Amino acid sequence: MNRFLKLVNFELGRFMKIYLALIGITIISQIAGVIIKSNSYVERANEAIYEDLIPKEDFFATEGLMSMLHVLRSVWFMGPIALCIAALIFYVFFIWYRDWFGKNTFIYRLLMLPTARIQIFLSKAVSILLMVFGLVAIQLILLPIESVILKWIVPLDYRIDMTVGEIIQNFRELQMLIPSTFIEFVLYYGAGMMAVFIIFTAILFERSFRLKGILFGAIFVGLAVLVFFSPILIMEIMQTYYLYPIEIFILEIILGLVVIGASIWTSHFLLKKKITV
Amino acid sequence: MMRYWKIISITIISIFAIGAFYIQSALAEKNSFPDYTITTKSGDEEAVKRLMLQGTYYGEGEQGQGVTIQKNEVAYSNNNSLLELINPNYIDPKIKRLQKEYRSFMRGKENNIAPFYENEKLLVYADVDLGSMINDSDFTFDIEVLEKESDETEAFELDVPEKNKYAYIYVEAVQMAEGELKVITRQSVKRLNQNEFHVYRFDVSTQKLISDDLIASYQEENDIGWSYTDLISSSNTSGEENKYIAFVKTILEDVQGEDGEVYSEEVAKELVTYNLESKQMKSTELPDEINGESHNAVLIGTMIYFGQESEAGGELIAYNIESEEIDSSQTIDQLLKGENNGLLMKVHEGKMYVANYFSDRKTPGGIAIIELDTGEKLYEGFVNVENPKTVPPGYELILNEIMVQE
Repeated sequence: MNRFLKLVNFELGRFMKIYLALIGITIISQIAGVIIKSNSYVERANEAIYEDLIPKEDFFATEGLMSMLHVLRSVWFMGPIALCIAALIFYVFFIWYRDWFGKNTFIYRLLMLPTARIQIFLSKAVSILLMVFGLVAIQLILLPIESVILKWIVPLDYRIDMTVGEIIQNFRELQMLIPSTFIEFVLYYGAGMMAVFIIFTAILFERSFRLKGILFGAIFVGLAVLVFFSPILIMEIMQTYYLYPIEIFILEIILGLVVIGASIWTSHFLLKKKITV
Repeated sequence: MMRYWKIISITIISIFAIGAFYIQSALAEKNSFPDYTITTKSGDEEAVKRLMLQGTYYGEGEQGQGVTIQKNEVAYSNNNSLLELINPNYIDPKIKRLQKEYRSFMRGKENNIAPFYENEKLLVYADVDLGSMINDSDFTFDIEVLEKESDETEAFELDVPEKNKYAYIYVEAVQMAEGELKVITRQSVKRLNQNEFHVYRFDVSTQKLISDDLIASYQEENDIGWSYTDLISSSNTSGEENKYIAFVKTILEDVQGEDGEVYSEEVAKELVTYNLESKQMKSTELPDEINGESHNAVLIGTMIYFGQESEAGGELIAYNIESEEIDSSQTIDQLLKGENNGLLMKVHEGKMYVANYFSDRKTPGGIAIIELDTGEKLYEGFVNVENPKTVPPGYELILNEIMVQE
């Protein structure tokens, strides 16, 4: 266990600089977004109400009251989130390929470690998961801070105050990242981890058989997707909706676990028997 | 220990932030949207115990949120939620009950109540299968009869007569009495701008189609205008078969306006009844008192109950098909009258449930329940917001369906 944690810590360390930079960009951009959007709203409101003498009610009726939702819709807010998502998707691949193509073929040393090789695989997966959770956590910490900054800038009667829960509930994109119930959180990120495992296995196919491995990897991904979505596919093709939604749901969870299991087992086999440096 | 700072700090921050968020949202869930209550003005509170009002709540500057209001419970739905997909709120309570009681019979059947018929002994399902993707008018009757006591199911499929003639066929109602199954359908004829109502009769024991009767075409054009026909839904509370099918036929004439443009003007509403026993059709003009809005009307036995808006707010008019007279009318005066404050109605087990579509701060929506037989008002009340101070002043509640739990 200690070895495993060491491996995870080590994997995190190798991406830490970029990871902290991503967090930094997110904090700066989002807070700047709140300040800029709030100031421009107050300016526009004051100009309309005190200079153009438009009645307050009319201004609010057309412009709406200021709230965090105005900030969320801007590129200041969504931009860094998109950047983080893209960076982590990129890192799902890079976390493996850097070991081969980095300085002094690092995978050689990793594979020589006296631990089970599947631990390398799992430590990389856990690192990705932890980094995703870290970013979600940072967003959850940032939202109340941003709300407070908005309150400082925008006067009480110009704004609607919302709790973090309300902000997320009113914004679809954010709700996909932070669903409203914990069960859904587990399910969404569980499905995400399944995808990561499948991609990892495909990468290992490529690393084991090179050019031919790309084909094997693609076949593996196709099979995994087919198995996972089979209940829905079968029902759509047959046009008979034989199962109740709750049954499909349970079946999908089971199939998800099956796919994850198959992915880990295949990777274990590839790492042990087929991998080439 | 310090060597592990990366893994430890990320884990702690994640658990702290994500955990705090979900714990807090579980605790605060009830406070983010207003609590609605049904307040009684008169009548027995028991009457609204099983009432479910579905609608959308709009806070100020917020997007609409689906809501289901019951006497003691308010549930807000979340459109993006996975769990909502698994157990949706909007499924008809009757379907929910049937799925619970006859799980294997209901398996694979859509959440539409129209193709089902239930009495004490039988549960009948008769739908028209739309066919495969290759042949889009390969219409077949898909009939299943469950005998409740023995738990035996008899199932058979039959081709729809002249099936290639139709573009679609939709089952409107199913009835069964003495081994004879009647399926009332609405269908459109391919390439013609023509739509028809049919009654198909089946002998369940021999699994044969007995007859196919065309009872009405529901959109017809002639030289001076056009007309359309709507089916009045029927409700059988006693489990007895309805003797009639009824339609409202709206006749429109082309009128030349002052600016030279031609538009259609409604000139008359007729009540068309079809006697299932004698296969006789009869057309009568509706009395002036009845506006003939078929979606708020219901046929029970030989009576048609029209729910409509009136000077006082709302009224319920009972019309007897056989005597062709208005039997009784009942005003529902407490329901508020406003510009966009129409009425929503639902008949369930011999009672008419009526509610206003719209509520806001100034005008809470009204609710009334009327016994159809006697015209007696069983209940009157309002949909009210609790703690109005905490609710945004510009909120609106728009109801779209009344349901009664089974």
